[in-house]
Amino acid sequence: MDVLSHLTDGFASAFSPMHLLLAFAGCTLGSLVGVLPGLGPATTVALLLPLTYVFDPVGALVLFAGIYYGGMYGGSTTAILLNVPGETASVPTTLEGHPMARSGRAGAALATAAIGSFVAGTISTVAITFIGPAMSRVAESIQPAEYFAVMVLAFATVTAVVADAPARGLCSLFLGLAIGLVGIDSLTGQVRYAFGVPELYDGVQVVAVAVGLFAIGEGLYTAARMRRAPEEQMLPVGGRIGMSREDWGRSWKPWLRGTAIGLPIGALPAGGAEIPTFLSYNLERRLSQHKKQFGKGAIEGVAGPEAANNAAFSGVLMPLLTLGIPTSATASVLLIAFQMYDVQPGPQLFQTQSALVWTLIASLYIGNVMLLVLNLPMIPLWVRLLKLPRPLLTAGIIVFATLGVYALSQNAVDLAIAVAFGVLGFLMRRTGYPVAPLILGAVLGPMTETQFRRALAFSEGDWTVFLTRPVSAGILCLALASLAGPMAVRLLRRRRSVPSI
Amino acid sequence: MSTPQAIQQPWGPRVAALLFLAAGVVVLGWAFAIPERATDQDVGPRAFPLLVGMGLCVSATFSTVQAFRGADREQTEQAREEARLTDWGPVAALLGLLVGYLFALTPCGYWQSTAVLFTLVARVLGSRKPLRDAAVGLVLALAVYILFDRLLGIHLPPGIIRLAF
Repeated sequence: MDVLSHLTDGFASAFSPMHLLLAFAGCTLGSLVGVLPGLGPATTVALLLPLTYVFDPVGALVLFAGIYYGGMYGGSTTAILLNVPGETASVPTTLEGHPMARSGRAGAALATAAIGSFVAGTISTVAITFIGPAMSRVAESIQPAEYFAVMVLAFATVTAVVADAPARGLCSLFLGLAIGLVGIDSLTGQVRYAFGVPELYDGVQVVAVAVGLFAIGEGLYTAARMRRAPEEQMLPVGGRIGMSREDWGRSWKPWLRGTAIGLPIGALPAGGAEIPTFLSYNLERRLSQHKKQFGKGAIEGVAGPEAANNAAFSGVLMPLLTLGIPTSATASVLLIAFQMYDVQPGPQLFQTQSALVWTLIASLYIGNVMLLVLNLPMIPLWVRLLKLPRPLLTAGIIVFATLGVYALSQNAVDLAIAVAFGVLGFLMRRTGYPVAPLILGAVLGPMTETQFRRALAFSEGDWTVFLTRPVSAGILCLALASLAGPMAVRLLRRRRSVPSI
Repeated sequence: MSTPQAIQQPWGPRVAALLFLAAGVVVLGWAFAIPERATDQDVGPRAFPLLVGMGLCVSATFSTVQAFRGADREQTEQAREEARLTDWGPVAALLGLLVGYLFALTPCGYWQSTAVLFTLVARVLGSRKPLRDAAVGLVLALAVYILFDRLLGIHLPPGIIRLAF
């Protein structure tokens, strides 16, 4: 077996003391930062990006695999204990997990989230191991027109999922694409949108955009609300972290169902983690024998969505590694980490960077185990971090955010860009514009344009090429449907005057 | 715009939509300034910016119309709630600190300006223990400086007061 021998090599490399240490450090740092209120996985990964300047590519990606999982895991802890979802995908967890914590069952909620994440993460990693190489072979034969269509689909689904009003999501997406245009055009050497600033010739640093939007924006948001908004009360973990026999009985099916929902949706180049978590939540509510408990702390409502979330998170790595297409904000930031090392994920990655990919996949297995074995008992310790004074925590976030941006190229222009995007992120958040499409557009924009122009070059300038090729046309129709679908549903609902949820 | 109902409308959505619209106009307008060679058949550097600019203009126009009409009830509600909870003083102060930091970083040095930034940000965010904050800030800034500049070789500005080693 080709896959197994590659995987063995990967494990051999991942089990080196240095890489084990990095995986552990990643999980720990990820959960530590992710547990801070308001810091979702995307922000966590963005904040910790400066760490990539320090290690070799393989070591850095092993570290980031840990941060990726740890950040999400820390996020579910905050959702349960503080009722603050770090990102949209954690909303279902707050719906059931927080009531559980309020009735003294925080330990069970944290345990089912952690074990469910482990189960889902491991199953999904097995899927990546065996399907990933096959998918990358398929990806190799994709033509530019289809490539462009797939990216449009990714844009459409991320835009449609986050906002109910597509106009707002599209504003965010197109602004992101515009940011990706800045700098020297890679095909002709033409400078675009640099406005005479030499620092912009290489383009806007996406790290500065991500850190600004997520971390500095969060700081401004905290500052705005600190006096008038009620501070969230943190609940104690009360009792040991673990599950009773009944909890196990009620959890294992939702874990598997959550995985079955999250993995395929995440693995499609159109997924994200929001849809599967909400789908899983609704499914569990429908199937549960304890329907009355829902909204008051039903364990199924934590187990299913958390598993779905983690499965989707792992599934997202599939299009990221094989196509180079991120389908969530967090995956976009992860792609930035790859690009900092001139590692371009895509169809060739499994061949050109075989050692790197397989070490990364092996560390996903290891990271999952580490999170379960090492972090579950340490949750009370992370929670104590939340007792630090909030002003100091936020000041610390600001210091690390600015450090990460400055260390990037040691000039103040990047820092100014980050501050500007901090203000933008703050305004967008207050007015209901989603930021995920913006960061996705900024990261993926240049590649989209390249494929777009290649497709038109092949067709000798014929713009109908995207619609006359059946596969490309089909994917574009899907993209249109995913944007227009939710709108149509809303219109229908309004006409029938059924109250929307 | 002087009816009581208009006053109750939060201004956030309108400002945001107009900002997007302005960005759209800039992207579209400057796209025409990108030279396109007419000789070759390939699509040049102007086509994609034109598409993006048009997309941004169209969606921002939609948003603007909605914001001024208050048609998007969900957005209006959210913006109103945010407006109720927002205190602009700390936001302006934090922003001022960040801009000041931008300019202070190179002349004053990394750890010096970062220690001050930390202390003042904590103060702006409501901390009332300046001595403790300053101590934490100084230790943190020095630790980061030594770790990055001295151990990892990522250069950070040293400033006027240099460390003895």
